[in-house]
Amino acid sequence: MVKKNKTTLGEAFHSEAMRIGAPPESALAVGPGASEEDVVAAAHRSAVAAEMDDFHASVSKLMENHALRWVVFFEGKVHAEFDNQKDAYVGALTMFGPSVPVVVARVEETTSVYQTAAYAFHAKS
Amino acid sequence: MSRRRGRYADRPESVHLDRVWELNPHGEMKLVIPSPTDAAKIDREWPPKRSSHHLNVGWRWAPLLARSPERFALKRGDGGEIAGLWCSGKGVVELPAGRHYRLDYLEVNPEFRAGAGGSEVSLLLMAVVAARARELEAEGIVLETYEALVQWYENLGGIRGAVAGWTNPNKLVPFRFGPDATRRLAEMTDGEKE
Repeated sequence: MVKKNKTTLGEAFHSEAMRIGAPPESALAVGPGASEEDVVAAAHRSAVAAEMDDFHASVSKLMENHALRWVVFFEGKVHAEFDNQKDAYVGALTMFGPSVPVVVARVEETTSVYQTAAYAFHAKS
Repeated sequence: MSRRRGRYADRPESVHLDRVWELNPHGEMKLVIPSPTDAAKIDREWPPKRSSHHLNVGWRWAPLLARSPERFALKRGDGGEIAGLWCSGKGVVELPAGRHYRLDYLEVNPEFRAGAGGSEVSLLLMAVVAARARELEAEGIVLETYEALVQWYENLGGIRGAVAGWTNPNKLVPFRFGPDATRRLAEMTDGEKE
């Protein structure tokens, strides 16, 4: 039985959907109730993710001079390198402060652990 | 037993409630008012599906819906999962450019995002928002969003930029859908009547 209040979305709708494309985020609008901290933390997460993508794309090249070292990576290049993770975090904080979305990571082909001083500072439990 | 049990106190009325759209290949999408049970389910199931870098990774819909007199959702099939939802704490605001529907929060089920029907569900959701705006005699829509979504909203017909008379509280990217864009979006909900 056809539902009385039913509308079929035809080819024109699907074509328009394809033209517009899918949104890159599941969240599409942000209301007035969002806290400034949430907004800042979210922006950092996004920026850090983009920086991390750059880092992953650069790992092979970084292996030439920074293999197995902990590096402070920002805007596509290594700004400092350290022997261990803790020193790298402290170094990143000292160099960039808590608000810059730098990546602190170990240079290895299978690197997967990352954090930033900025994200650590803003992260909420 | 109260008929309102399981619902928030102030139930919005709309001529679009219970409308059903056949959205192949995803099946039927029905406009409903999300219940506290729906919100709890979303808050339980969606956060793990959001990518860690998603801007709304910490959102919880229960408190957002509880304080929003305007709240609607597209539900898949009869009694199925929520495909997307939105809310507004204000509804319509009067601006120098006329009455505008203030879209506060909107999210598409993370499972319906890119590659899994995100285009269609997202467009339908915005089209229904526009239809709701016109139902309330708003000639446009205002919203704030993130930089990452600017292109998508522009593709939909929105115009980026400050909106006279409206102070976007989060200082994100303000967007306005004017009368033509809003009407065009709303008309998409009409599809081909059976």
